[in-house]
Amino acid sequence: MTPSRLAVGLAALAFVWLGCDSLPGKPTEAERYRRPSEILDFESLYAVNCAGCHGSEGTLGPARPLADSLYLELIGRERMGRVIAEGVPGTAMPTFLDANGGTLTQAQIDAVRDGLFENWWKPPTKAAARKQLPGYAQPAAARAARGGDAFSKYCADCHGADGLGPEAPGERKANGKKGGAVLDPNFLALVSDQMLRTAVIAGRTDLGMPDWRATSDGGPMTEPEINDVVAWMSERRP
Amino acid sequence: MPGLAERARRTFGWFDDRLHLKAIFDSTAGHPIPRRSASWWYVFGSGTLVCFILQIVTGICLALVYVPSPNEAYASLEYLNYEQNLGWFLRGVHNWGSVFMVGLMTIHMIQVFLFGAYKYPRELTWVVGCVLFLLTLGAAFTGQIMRFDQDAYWGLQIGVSIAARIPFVGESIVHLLQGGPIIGAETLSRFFSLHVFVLPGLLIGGIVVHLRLVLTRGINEFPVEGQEVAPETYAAEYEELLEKTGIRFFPDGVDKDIVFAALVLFGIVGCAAILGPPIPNGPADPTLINTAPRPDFYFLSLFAAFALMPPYLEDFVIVYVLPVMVLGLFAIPFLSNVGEKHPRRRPGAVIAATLAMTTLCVMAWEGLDSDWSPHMDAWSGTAVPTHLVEGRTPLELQGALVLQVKQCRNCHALDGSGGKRGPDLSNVATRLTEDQLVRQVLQGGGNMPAYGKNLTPAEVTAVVAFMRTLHPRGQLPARDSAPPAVPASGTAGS
Ligand code: HEC
Ligand code: HEC
Ligand code: HEC
Repeated sequence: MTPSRLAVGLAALAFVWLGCDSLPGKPTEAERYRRPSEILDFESLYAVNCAGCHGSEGTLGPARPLADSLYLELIGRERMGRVIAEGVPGTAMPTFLDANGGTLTQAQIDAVRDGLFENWWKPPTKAAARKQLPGYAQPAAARAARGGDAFSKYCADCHGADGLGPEAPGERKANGKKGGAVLDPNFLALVSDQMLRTAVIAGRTDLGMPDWRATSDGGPMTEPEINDVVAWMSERRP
Repeated sequence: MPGLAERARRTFGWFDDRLHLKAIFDSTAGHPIPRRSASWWYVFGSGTLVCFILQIVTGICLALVYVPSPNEAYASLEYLNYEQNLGWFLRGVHNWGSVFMVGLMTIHMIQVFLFGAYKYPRELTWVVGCVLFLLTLGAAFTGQIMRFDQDAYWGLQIGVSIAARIPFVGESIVHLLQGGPIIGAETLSRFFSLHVFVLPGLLIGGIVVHLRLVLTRGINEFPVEGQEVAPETYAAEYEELLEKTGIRFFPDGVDKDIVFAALVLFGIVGCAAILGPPIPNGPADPTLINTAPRPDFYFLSLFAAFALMPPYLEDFVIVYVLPVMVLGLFAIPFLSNVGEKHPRRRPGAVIAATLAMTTLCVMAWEGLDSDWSPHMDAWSGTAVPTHLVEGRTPLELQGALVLQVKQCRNCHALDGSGGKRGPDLSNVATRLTEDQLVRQVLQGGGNMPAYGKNLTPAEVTAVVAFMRTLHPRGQLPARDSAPPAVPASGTAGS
């Protein structure tokens, strides 16, 4: 056998040997089964646990959008972690921490929380915008009695004077920005006060509800007005 | 000094004198066959045998690494897949070898059936062939258990629950198979010994008898239209055929079998290299419920049949229908063993075979595409299509959330995404009126649980309000046929 033939033969052998490792049938690490509790990347965790309600891109789900920098700024990391772990009792938001009967480990919850901020939070550009931001939690010192006025002033335009939506169905169609009934007792029975407050402050920009700065009648709402309108709506709950 | 050839001849003679090698050869591989039987139609039996031999070889190699204990079986597969050089390939060849074996065996049976080869005097060959078929399915089933992953565990459960319904002896069989009242550590060892000792042993024995029968009465002649089988004259006719057109199977009639064997091996190796082995889908652990297990392909049609069947039929099917089908398979040569062999003269047989295969394939397709098991992740992971979110009122949005959090989505799809156990709800408002929706949710029915006790009145109102919006743009939702006595004011056109 001449040296050149030998070289060709060896090269072919090496090719086959190396080729075996790149055959399409070889199981890849990505296909390897991982226990659900070992998954730590944000995309998979979000897709399996949150997308159903908060939307696959973090917007346009039935529950509030999470891909909303203003909202993330409002809630903050620490509270975000707590809400995911504990859920919101009495509403559709489930508890996720395994110790509470959920399906995620603490490490996974941290990964979701950090992922939400890494992907969807941008530092506020203007320092002023940040300063204006109302508090996340509803204070005890709200005056529900005054909330009705705030509602008429800021909300009735879209949600109807009685809070039961635009008078006629056609009206809603004519203006995509009009909102539906928010004082419907069944709706109020299904949501927490915090959800109402969050909606007033951060809006539902994906569905055409503005945040507290841009509500009709010129906004922004003052923090007492926000407190009052939330307390007032809460009182409408049967 | 005698020449080399002469010396070899003498050595062979010495052995032949003592072992009768030539006589053995002449009556086995060298036996005469009708020339037309060396046909491309007649290669499937030997192809199946090639697969079986490959299974033995690869099986022995796998057994070097595989540990038949529940705690280590899964890990040893992962070792083969990810650490052992080409271990994945070995698994792939063994897996595809079994797929090819079952496939070729089925084709072989169909060919034998269509060519009337089971008729006199080859009834027993058919019967033994049926035994081999069942044993092979048994080997395939126990092989799937060897993976001891979620699919295996679940397949085991189904197999066991089928066995349990056999009258009188069901419980004992289950106990024997499981090695106890539940699937446990003992179970895997039992299935392991079935898979590597009992079934291959029986298969080898069965193959020996099967081949012996083929040699004794010769391979089936190629069917000729108008030529009828009659026991009185058959032997003489076959003798004459051999006289006139006989060739030796080896070396004269074997070329097509060799080419086919090479194709089969090539196919198996190719599938293993390109498609790879099945990836174990998680250790067998009953606490992991978020899986959608599915059997290997040979059992897909059975799986589909049981999934589509109403539950009250299951017992009947297991106790009567399946045994009758198996008995029917065995009985074929006893129902008709004379007369025409050519498929063109036996339209009934062709129709029966076509029907059986079509049913099997359709069922297997259903099984492949099946979604009867609820999607356990859909409620939290499958998004509501955005066009069903936009334009909804806050209450309707809450209704969409009820559909998620109460896990309706695990059974019901919206726009095709979600579980498929119940109907897709994207257009439900065109089918059901408000009252009917309320009733369906509260009372369930037809494989849907009743939610009456699990939903608050507000949740029911919300979910029904949302479902009322699920109709194509421009198509009005279904309404009660009786118009309201007093037209509601201000809601015209609702
Ligand atoms: C079954 C539906 C559902 C799933 C799944 C779900 N959520 Fe929620 N989530 C809700 C609802 C409904 C609310 C509003 C609850 C209320 O009324 O306060 C909510 C509220 C929240 C809030 C607080 C909103 C506020 O008002 O400040 C956060 C944060 C949140 N969800 C994050 C998540 C994350 C992260 C996940 C995935 C790990 C997730 N949710 C999964 C339904 C869901
Ligand atoms: C520019 C019109 C507009 C104004 C002003 C407005 N909303 Fe909305 N609101 C909407 C729209 C649009 C939605 C989305 C749901 C729908 O279409 O009904 C919505 C939704 C809501 C929701 C439900 C959010 C959810 O996640 O389901 C609440 C609560 C709410 N609004 C309260 C208020 C309150 C309180 C005010 C006054 C402070 C207010 N809205 C002002 C348009 C408006
Ligand atoms: C275990 C699976 C399962 C779950 C969970 C489930 N359903 Fe169903 N659902 C079905 C099946 C199956 C049917 C078909 C019933 C029949 O054929 O009569 C059905 C039928 C329906 C129908 C009638 C659809 C039509 O086109 O006729 C509605 C509406 C419905 N379900 C709503 C719901 C709601 C709302 C929930 C959650 C509260 C829910 N389902 C949960 C399985 C399920």
